[in-house]
Amino acid sequence: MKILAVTACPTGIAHTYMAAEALEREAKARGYDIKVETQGSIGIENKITSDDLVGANVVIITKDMAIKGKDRFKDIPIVNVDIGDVIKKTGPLLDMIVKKISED
Amino acid sequence: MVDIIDKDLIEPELDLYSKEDIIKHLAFLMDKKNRLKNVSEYIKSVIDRENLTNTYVGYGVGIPHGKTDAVNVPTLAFAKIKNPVIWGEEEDLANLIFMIAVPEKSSSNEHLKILAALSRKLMDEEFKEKLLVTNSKDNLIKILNEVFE
Repeated sequence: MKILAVTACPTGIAHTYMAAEALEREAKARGYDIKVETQGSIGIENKITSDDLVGANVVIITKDMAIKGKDRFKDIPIVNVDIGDVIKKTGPLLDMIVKKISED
Repeated sequence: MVDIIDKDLIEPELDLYSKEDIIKHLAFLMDKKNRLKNVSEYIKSVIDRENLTNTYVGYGVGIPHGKTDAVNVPTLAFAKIKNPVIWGEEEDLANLIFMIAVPEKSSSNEHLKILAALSRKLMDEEFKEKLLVTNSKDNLIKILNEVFE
């Protein structure tokens, strides 16, 4: 399982980074490949490149803010999630997403 | 670079019973340290942000924050609340409050990086447990500073 994600929040100070950390932790604990791009107050970090797109099963995007460069992901299933849910219910949310894309 | 937090911005046993009172109290601490240009404007920005979506992030943690011109220097205030208060939905009780102040146009990326690192650290159970077991300001600042090094 290879997961990509982009996180962004209204002020770009805290939630962006908490969500990124939570996704990385839970995905790694499940043995998945993950790369999370943060679009916060510092700018874009850990940018997802065209190389990263190869073999990706899904891209998780937080829906609280419009993210930059969404076009990149047009060939990958996109799941839009609430950033609060990403932080508070990371594990169950990830399991649900993986189950859904495995069924499709 | 001015430190993002100091001992005067820590409350190890804050005895307040509402979200708004806690926000105001911590804002006044920041103001006393000349971290703010306009305390009431800062408080308003924090409360507006809470009203947009509350900043409860699970596990007893609330992260109220305001990004406004009313802030002089990027600042963190930290409080442990004696009796957990409702920070989000009714079941969302918080006892660890990290309140953040950031100028609208931050002159230094370094401070923002520190706050990003802190945010990531909040996902670490061990870090939160360490903060819970001590009420000494010296120990608390030491634990918090581990993030910033």
